[in-house]
Amino acid sequence: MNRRRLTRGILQKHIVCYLLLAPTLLMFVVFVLVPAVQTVYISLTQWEGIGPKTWVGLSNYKTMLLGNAVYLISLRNTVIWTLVTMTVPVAVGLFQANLLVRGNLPHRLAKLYQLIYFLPQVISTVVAAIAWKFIYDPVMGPLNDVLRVVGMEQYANIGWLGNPKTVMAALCVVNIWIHSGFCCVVFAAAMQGINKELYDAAMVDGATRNDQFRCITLPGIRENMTTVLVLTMMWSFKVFDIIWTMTKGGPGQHSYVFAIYAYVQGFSYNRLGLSAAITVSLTLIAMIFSKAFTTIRERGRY
Amino acid sequence: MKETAGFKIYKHISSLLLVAFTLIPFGILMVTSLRSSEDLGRKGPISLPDTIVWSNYPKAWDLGNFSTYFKNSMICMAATVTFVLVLALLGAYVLSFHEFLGKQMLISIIMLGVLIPFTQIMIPLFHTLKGMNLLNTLWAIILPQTAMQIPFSVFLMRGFMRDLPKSVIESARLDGANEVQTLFYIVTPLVRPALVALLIFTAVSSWNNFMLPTVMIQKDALRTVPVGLNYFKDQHFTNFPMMCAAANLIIVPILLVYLTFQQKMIQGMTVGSLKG
Repeated sequence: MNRRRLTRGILQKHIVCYLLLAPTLLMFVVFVLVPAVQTVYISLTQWEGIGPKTWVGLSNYKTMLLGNAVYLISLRNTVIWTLVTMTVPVAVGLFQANLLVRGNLPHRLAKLYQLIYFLPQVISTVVAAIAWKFIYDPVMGPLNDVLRVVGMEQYANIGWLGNPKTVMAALCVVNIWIHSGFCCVVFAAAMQGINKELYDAAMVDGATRNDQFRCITLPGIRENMTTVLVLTMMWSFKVFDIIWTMTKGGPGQHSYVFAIYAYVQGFSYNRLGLSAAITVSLTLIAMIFSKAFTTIRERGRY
Repeated sequence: MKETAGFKIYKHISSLLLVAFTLIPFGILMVTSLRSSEDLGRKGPISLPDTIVWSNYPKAWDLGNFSTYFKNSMICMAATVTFVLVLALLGAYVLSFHEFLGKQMLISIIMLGVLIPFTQIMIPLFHTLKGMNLLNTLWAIILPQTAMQIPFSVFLMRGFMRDLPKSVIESARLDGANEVQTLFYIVTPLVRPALVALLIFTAVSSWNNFMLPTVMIQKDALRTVPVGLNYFKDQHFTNFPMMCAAANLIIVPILLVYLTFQQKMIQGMTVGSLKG
């Protein structure tokens, strides 16, 4: 009798848990999990979006990988993009945050700087795209004007976004503009959490500013550092907004990244199988890298 | 610590250089939006206009259907934020304070979602929504947007809830509160700071979301602000002053919100990288 009531109670508790969890789970499963798995299936078929899907095995992956220059460009650009985002804004943010927190700036000035640095992160990417497309414009753009004024005319007639040689660099600058302030603010917040006594003790021992940065600040924000790096890496792999709003992947296909390649194949050419294969490869790369990164982080913990 | 003169100069110059780099594009937008096309053509971009011209703003507003875009973005943002907060609270509460069959498995599945980029789901999602007759409605933005936020927000709220003392929950139960009462009257007030951060994070991501509405919305009357502005940009790209005016129309409300809630905004938008 007693045991029966107990099992019923436990069962009831499980049911209540599932009921409370149901709306969250349902949304997630219907709109994220199932589509994510369906994409894997679509990548193994040929499909124009209407009509039946024809099973073609790995042939989409073959088309994607073998002798496909556009895939290689996308891969190269995604790698460049990721490397730049993981180094330049992080480095700029790190050094600037250190100046703000450890540089004896008046407190309110440091706060004001952070407020300004963070601004590009708050506004929409499209606004950034408008500003920077104008800056880079070959005819009207301020950048070429400045170059002319400082006597570098030979560089001044480049359409920065229209030239295959410069387009990725130009886009990376926009990315650095958006991202550096974010890194700075995150690192500054993390640095404020470091115990001030450590610095006092180091000063007594005669440690220089650089020593302190290397031996106290960097280890102190280690965790945040890896989190920011993983986040940045994920953002970089799936980048779409900045590049789509500024060049649509052009000129030609010279600023293609995975997300743009997949979007164009899927929604402009209706080659959904190929599009799915591209995106599966992107997801796999992203998962492997973030797994590797978090493993390194766990191992580095002591 | 004693500061050398060199370090003093270095720290100010470094800070100001980054300020300049950050603000110059905004300055260019501002100056260019206040001049006429002819003025820009004659004097070049790096100059001040002869006369300040305000007419680019009403022109951009009229040509660009921006009031509709703002309305759509507001609706999407409000709905997404409401859904995400409720679902994250429910999900995180059950996953932090209860033991039940399959819990670990569910947690791993939901956490997998953090790693799924939008491209991985866009094609089937498009066809699912088409099948539900939701394509070209605002639901095609709200529902997937909510769903994509779930992994991160559950993860975040669970992180905060696990730090609460278990005794609080137990005493609530002893007093006879049921699950829903415990969640909304006991737990929710205790995690309020995290909830505010999540609210801001979700609101900003929703407001700036670009790829999802680009894929799902083809009707001009349903475009959100970023997608509408991008469309406007492609239509009128030769008219730089009007373009810059349009961009400023979008910046101003966001800037006002940002300046009013500065610290809260920054906390909310960096919450993922500080509590991880």
